[in-house]
Amino acid sequence: MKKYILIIAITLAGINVHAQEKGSGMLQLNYHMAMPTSDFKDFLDEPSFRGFSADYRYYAADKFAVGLQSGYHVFSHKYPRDTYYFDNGAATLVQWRYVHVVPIIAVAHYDLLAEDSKLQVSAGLGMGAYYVREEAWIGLYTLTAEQWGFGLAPEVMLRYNFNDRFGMLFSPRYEVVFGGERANLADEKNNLAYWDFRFGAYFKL
Amino acid sequence: MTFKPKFILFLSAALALFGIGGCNLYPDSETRVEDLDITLTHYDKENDFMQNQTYSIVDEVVEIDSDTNNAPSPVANSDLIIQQIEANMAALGYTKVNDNQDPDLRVVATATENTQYFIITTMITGIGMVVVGMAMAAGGVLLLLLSACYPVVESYTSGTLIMQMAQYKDTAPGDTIKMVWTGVVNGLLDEDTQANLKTRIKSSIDEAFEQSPYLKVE
Repeated sequence: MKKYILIIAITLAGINVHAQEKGSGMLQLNYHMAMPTSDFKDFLDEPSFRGFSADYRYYAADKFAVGLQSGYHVFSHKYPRDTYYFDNGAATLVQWRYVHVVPIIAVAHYDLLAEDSKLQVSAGLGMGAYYVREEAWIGLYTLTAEQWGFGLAPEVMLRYNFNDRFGMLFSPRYEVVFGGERANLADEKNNLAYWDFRFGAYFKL
Repeated sequence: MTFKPKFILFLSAALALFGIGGCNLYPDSETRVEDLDITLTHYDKENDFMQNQTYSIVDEVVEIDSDTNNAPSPVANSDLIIQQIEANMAALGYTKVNDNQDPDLRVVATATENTQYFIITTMITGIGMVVVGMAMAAGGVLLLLLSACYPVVESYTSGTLIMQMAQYKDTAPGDTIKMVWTGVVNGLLDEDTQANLKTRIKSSIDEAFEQSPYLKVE
């Protein structure tokens, strides 16, 4: 089975298509799935299946693109009724927790395979501003914390060109927003970090 | 290879299905009214609860009104609340006595009620959709928008039960009474049947005492 997959991959990579040359552009529309990691899991430890983004990339040089990305994803989970003990008391309640994330970041990518390859792999880095709003819904009350923070998003992207104008992509990346506040009863400040898996379509311009 | 619009349509539909068509994001109509109940307790860590064995309790739970001219009046489930507090105190090992028997603790229970009003924009359903359909048939976009969305004033009423214990023994008239334990129960009063409301009140009072094992008589 592995042999066939390898043969197919090499064949696809060898088919020539319209190359991403200097001066060309690309518009991407993506669906996101994400998984909290690190300290983020202390606030909300559930994967997110609600996210989308749009990217525009401009090839400043052959194989090297820069661009902008923005989008939205939301993490959410209902925590069943439980008792939480603190220093001189306790609370029994149901919680709904939400984290809304809107990145507005600059991205830079370098294509690792040949310019005219049908299957393309690129490595890149995004950095910029992230709007993060955390909510904890408790009974008839809502605790919120919102902020703009600086974030980084290193990523690898696999693209498959169907023709010279359209293709599909898959892109795993790790996103970190520094110094976030938590919308819970504890006065904590932690980074917001999560794995982000993008599935999308792109259109060459 | 040719460009296939149908494939993109399928992709868009799939993304919409996975991304948007799942469960509702915020608490919705499937949320049970008891999910919104909160039980909180707070106690004085410096107080020696182990010395207590007896308590007295108020005869009824009165409502605290923001208008101080109103005379305190007992709440609808006053007897039920008092009985449930007494049952929990007995389970912890306390003996109920009268005020004139110098009890170790004095238990007081009060309640508040609050109605909140808010405006939401809602969509017409049912027969209203016929109006929307007529508007669409007439081609009136403005009429369509006016028909489909309109503001509605909604309200909900919540109630809060406040239970307090004071270290009472050997206090004289005029002395400052030290509150050593507070239990607060908060939840919706409307949107529920009377039977379920009584069940919620009892279970919430039980939760407050379950949170407080330090009250147990040694």
